[in-house]
Amino acid sequence: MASVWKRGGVYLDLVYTFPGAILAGTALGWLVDRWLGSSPYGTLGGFFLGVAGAFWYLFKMLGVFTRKKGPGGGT
Amino acid sequence: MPVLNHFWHLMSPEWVLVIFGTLFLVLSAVPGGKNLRVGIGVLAVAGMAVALALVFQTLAVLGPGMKVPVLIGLNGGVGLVVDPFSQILKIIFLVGGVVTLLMSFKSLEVEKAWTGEYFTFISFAIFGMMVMASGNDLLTLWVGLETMALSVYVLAAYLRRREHSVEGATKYFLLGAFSSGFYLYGASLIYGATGSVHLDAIRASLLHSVEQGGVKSIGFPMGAGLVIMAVALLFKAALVPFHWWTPDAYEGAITPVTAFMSVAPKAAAFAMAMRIFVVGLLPVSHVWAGLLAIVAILSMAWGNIAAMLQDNVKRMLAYSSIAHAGYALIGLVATGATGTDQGVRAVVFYLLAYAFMNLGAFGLVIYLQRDGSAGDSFEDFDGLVRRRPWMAVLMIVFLLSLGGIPPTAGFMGKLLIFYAAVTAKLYLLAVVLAVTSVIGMYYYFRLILHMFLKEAEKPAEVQAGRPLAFALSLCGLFVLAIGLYGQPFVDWVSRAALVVR
Repeated sequence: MASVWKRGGVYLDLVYTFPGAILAGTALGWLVDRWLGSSPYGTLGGFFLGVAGAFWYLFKMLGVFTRKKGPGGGT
Repeated sequence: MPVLNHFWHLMSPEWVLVIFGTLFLVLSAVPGGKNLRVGIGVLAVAGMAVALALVFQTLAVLGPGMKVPVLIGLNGGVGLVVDPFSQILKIIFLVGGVVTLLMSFKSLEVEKAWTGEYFTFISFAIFGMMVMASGNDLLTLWVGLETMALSVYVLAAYLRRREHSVEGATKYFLLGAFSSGFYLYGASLIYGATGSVHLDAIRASLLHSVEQGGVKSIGFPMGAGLVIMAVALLFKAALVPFHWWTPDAYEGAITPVTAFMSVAPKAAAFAMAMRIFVVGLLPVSHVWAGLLAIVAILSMAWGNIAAMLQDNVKRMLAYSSIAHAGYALIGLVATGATGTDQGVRAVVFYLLAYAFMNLGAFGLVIYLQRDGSAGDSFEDFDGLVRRRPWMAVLMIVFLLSLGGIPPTAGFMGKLLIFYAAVTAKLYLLAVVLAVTSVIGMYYYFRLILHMFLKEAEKPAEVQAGRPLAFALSLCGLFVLAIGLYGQPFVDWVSRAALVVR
């Protein structure tokens, strides 16, 4: 039963991390734009990096999901 | 009711593929032995050859610079066009399809995996690619993209009882589904910013905005739409940083499918990218050209460095394909920087050359495949020059071409890309292209050394079979022909570039 909760946690983690990475990247880019006056390139670049980070995290999670033994020692 | 202008004539190659693909699906349900399955394979090659002939025929009736709308929507927007650009790209997809089918005979035999559905999905995937090459609005392009992608997901998981195959295909499918969703989100943002999904209308709207308010006037929604659109296309073309799925999916798939995935869908993604970025988004090239330049540098560097570290030939070729996509991307950046079609010409030429050399290299892996071994380890190539000298010579030709050594197609392709970069004053990209090409030689020569200097401990008895031998000869012939006498091919490909402008 505990492993079910642990596995559920991994899936829920993705729900927050995926959009979170995009928002964080965009916010950082926006700050760079404010600092350097480079609008809109910093925001767009940060947005791109955020999407790339989100996809990378998704890929890592897929590696966990497709393993025979699930996260948290589940079968 | 949409207007169909010359629809049945100019889209006849697409319909041939759909009819044949559906026929294979019906035939696969007919009870029968191996002869029926092989018969379906022969029919598939014939069907694709007919489609190829029809594309050549339609290309012959199109004058230089001619762009014929074939599907016009209710609002007057053009959904599908047929022009030399689309037809030349279709020829690349179909040639990739024919060679893949010829190489599949041996693999399907060794894997004992003959089914009619295999040929159906290859036909449907190429149909999707052809729509991607002809699409003139963001939604038609998406329909083509999904038709291709769904078929290729199934092909990637074709060996469904093999854990590696299912794992690679699952990753590919889930990441692909996300990227398709992103594409639609980007399309909706662009629609919101410009009021249209048609590429010509998007271009006109952007030109107006830029003329009114300067290059920084496009606003965040349009910029974000552009970036999201780029993400989806970079994923399909397997470019850094959206490349992670590539090695797993390539290694897990049956080798002819890997060869197919590394050539045709990649070319289709570039065709779609050229349509969207050069036809629709050229007025905002100051945004996307810089972004794609960084992606090209990362892809060339990481693709080559990661390929050096691989111990499996299929994975090595997977990373090498990432680097080659980076080389081709320079052409698109050059077009964005100059607004001329020289870069597009270089990209189309590179895709043509890459199709032959990469399919050939994968063909040699298939040649070494046998019962119980995929033939994809470096040791499988040990002493090949003494065991099968002609096959070794062919592999050397393909590897030298991938490395960009004259007189091969790969050299001509890289030369055109390099020339486009220098003409566009993209000196950094030209330098990275040259340096990473030298790094790439390491792992190509490593395989050549295995063929020459190593002795096979237990030489396995392998047979090519006529279809595979023919496919390899065809690839070798074109790699050398394009390298030795490239000008007619350059002139031919230049017809495509003229229309995109």
